[in-house]
Amino acid sequence: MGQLKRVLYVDDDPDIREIATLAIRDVGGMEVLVCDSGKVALESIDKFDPQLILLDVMMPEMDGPSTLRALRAQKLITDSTAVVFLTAKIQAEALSDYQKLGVNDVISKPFDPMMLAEKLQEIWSRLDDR
Amino acid sequence: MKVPSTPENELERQKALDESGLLDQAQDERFDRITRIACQLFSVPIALVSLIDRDRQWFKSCQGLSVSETPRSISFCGHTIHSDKPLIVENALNDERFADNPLVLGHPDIRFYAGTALKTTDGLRLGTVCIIDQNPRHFSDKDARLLIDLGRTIETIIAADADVRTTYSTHEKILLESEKRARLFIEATGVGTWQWNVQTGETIFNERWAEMVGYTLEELFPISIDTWTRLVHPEDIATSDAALKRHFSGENAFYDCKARMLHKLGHWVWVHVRGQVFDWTPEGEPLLMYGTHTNITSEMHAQEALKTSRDELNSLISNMPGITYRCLPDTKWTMLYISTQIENISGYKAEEFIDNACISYADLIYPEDSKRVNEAVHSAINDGNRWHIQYRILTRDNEWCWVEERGRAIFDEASQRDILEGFIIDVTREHETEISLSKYQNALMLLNELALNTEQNIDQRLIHALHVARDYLDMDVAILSQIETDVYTVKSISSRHDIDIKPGKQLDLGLTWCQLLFSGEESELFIANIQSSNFSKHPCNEYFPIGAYIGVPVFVEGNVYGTLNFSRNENRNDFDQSERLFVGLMARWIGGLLESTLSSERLYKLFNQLPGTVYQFRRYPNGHVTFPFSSENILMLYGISSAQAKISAQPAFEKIHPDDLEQTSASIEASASTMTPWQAIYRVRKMDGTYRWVLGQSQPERLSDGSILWHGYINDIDAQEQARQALERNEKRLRGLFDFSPIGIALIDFETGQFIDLNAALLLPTGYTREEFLRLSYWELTPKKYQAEEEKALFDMQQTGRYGPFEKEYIRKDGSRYPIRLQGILSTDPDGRKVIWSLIEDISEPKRLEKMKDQFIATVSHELRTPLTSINGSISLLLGGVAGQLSERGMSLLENAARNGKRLTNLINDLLDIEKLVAGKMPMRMTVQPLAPLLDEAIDSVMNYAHQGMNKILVDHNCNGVRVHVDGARLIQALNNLLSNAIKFSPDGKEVHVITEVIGDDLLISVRDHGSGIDPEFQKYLFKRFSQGDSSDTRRLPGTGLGLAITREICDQMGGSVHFNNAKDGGSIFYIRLPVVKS
Repeated sequence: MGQLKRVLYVDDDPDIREIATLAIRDVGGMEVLVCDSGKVALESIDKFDPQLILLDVMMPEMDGPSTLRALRAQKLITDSTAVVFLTAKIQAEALSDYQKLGVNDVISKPFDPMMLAEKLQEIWSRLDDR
Repeated sequence: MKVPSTPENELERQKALDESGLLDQAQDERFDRITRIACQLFSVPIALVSLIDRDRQWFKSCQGLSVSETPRSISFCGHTIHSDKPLIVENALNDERFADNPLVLGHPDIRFYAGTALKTTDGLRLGTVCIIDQNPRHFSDKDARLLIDLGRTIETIIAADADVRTTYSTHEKILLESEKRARLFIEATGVGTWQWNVQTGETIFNERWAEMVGYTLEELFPISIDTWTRLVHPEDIATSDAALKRHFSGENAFYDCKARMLHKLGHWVWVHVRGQVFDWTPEGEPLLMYGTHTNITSEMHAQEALKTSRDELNSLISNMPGITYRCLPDTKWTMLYISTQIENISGYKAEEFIDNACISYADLIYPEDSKRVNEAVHSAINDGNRWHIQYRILTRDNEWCWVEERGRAIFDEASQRDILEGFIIDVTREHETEISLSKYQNALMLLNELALNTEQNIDQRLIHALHVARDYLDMDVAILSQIETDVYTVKSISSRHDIDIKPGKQLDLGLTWCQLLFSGEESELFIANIQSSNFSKHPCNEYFPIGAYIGVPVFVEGNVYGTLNFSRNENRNDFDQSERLFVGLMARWIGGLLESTLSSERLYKLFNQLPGTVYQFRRYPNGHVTFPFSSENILMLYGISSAQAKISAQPAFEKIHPDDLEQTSASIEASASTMTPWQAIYRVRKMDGTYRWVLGQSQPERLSDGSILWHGYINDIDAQEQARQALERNEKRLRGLFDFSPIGIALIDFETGQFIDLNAALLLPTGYTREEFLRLSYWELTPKKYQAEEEKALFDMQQTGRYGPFEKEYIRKDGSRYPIRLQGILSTDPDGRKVIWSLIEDISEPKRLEKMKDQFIATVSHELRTPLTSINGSISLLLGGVAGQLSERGMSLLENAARNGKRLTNLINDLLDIEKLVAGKMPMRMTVQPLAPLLDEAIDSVMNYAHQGMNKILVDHNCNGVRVHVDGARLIQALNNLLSNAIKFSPDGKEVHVITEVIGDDLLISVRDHGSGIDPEFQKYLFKRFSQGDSSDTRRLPGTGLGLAITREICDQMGGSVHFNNAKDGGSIFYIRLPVVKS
């Protein structure tokens, strides 16, 4: 079972961004590239090569799904990159939409930052097993 | 169709019907009144009084049909007369006797029929009273009894008519009889009679009259006054006319003249014409004359012969029954010569008169006549004329003898003095005949006068008649008595002197002279001189000593009613035939009068049995108003008696409600000016001050004096009117509700689908005007895509009488659509038409609000969660030591913050869940799965919570292999809620039991705690949203109050249910019931 090391995290809310960053980096001991918008993510990803991307769904200009589509279109992520959405919207229709997008899991807000890294690892491991 | 058979007693029945006089008579208001009442009473369009005649049924009265008869073979009533029981056909189409009857299949489309037979007093069923409707209807026993009552009322009228008819024919018979008697008598006297309508020339002669001129009446036909003028001698017409004029002007009491008439054989016949006008036109012109013609040819011929020549006269003298005389013009009429025939008349020999040898002629002349004779003779002498007089002389036998004398004064050359000479004939016979005839005429005319006087009431007429009769008969007292067993009661009296007998006085019959009439000895009493009669020793004479007495019985309806009697203190001369005839006829006339009064009293009683008031209302030209006739009920109606009403109708008008007075008066005016029937509904004040509604209907008639007389009927319709007004008010209220309802309402004809009525709330959102809307076809309003829903609604309506509610759309005038919610019920309107009441609610606004709510919830969900994420996240990280080690107090505070952050999150989650569940927007991902893992997970999720209170969860698993069809996550959520509650309400250290068991097809999962149980008061709110057992501010235990509500929604949506029981030994048991999936 491999270790999850690099996580790309995109969120427009600075407060949540701070908490999630702490949770992934300090609690989980992972490397995290934090972006405050999809646009920034597209520009900054460069050679970071994330194993998992954590995307906030509701964002101005480019929302989570758009960012995902853009990343894929520009081949900035591979098919093996795990995709996890972070959202306050957990309505059923939304969930099925996300699955169509090829999202591997959804984490709802509010989440427990102490458990976040562990959850991401679990998701990634589940994928890695295939 | 069944043709009505002929009743067994048809011959008898038809005879009774023919004799009833009911057939083919003009319209009769009394029957119409009842059929109109029937229409109102039973709310039917058609009511009939039908008489079954040979091959037809003829309508005596008919409401609602324009024909007056139909064939008997297709009549309903032909069946009805077979029984005393009413014939009731509630729906003719279901009755094989009538289903194909032309009156059912075609006009008047009879569906409902109810009729009852109308019987004579002999029980013969002449016809029916029946009601008819064009719709089937139910007819209760009570209705049937009402109909029978109406039938009885009509039967009473028919019976009363029969009575009146019998009475009339009796009257007619009496009149005919008396006329026949009088005629016989007159015929016996050899007198011709005539009756002449002066205005029209219409004339009636008797057979004897025709005989006088050698004809039969038939030969003279047609008879008019011209018959007379044709036959009369031209020279005599002037004389006759002059005499007539003198009578008409009142100068002469009689029309009296002599004239010649041409005999069939060509000779002239002398007649004595005598007559009198006995009826005048209102303008005072003579109308009817009655008189006689007596053949006096012989006398006239004699006179003529006398005139022809004195010689001839002389030669005739010996052959004639007359007397010639010569006398001196002194006071004694001293006779110089008198022919011997005087002996034949007077009984004295001629020589006894000569020079007044024994007796003077003057002494023989009747004292009353002598003055007249003297005057006539002296006047003739002075004028140089002849005299012609009639007077009486006393015969030797002390009898009076009438003579006629013609004479003149001549100067006698021989004696050189004036002497009188003349001719006397005995005319006693003629005179007596004439007097007797005139007396008869007088008697008949008097009776005629009495009978024709109808202005007064019966009592006044009787008294007047007694008075006239008493004078005519020259008696002192006239009495009409009533005799019942042995009691004699004075009913009416007229007395010449003041006496102590008044109407109402009662006497013992045995003491009265009348008693003689009832002792079987005498049928009538005419005693001119009681003292010299057989009755002088009679006991009556002791009590009532009188001089003369007349007594005859009075019969009413064939029974003795009492007597007509006259008495006189002094004797009088013998009663002659005319007086006897007069008394006899008068007694008959009184009997008839009493009889007709009785029958009108009977009619009056009948009127009084009617529920309303039968009345006549008269308005005089001067505006005065009275009720000349009214049934006793007028007291109930207007608080005035019939007697008061007769004097003035004004008090009745004062009882009319002020608001109705003007309109009621106006309707009377209108009826008077157009002579159309009057009808009005108005309120009348009762004794207690309340008002009641009445309906008045009457028929006006113009009287000759310019008055208008209404014949009518007023009845109390307060109950109907109040009900009608209540209905109207109710209708108005409902109309208001209909018009101002914010929800669209439409009334639709079920058969045609047409809108009958609709309100503004329905129109408004469509943008159509009412007219445009009503013209729309169905699919112009409803999009075609709702056809399936529409068909279901129609099906539901047919099956259950209602449809909906369901939602669809309407198309606006501008083509846009808007959502509506529809529901409706099937109903029947008062006309029996099937209608649909539909509620059509414009739900655009609720829909918009719902959308807004959804958006709001989504926003709230996002906007609340985002800050919560930061708050909870920060706390969690702090507690996790990410920011370094904290003090124990700091940790405690953070834990507090974390707990409440968690609560807030739960609250938001619960709120969103319940909203979605209630709106049906929580998708259930149902799969068939084993129960055990779900149960374990639910218990696991509350373990931490249980440990805090040191509560153990004891699981009594009995569900290995049990599978359920559920959304796993939701079942866990439901169980979690029950478990959390159980832990929350358990005292520390107490167990929570989870027990599963399968009962039949059901799985029960019970969660039991040992808390204090649920307050019974609260149990009914247990599964409602935001309910908590303790809602006080000092709430001990946390919770959103949504848990159980969510649990119930989840269970319901998964096809299960959740229940509650208080445990026997304290605590509560909640259990979820789910269907078990069989493997």
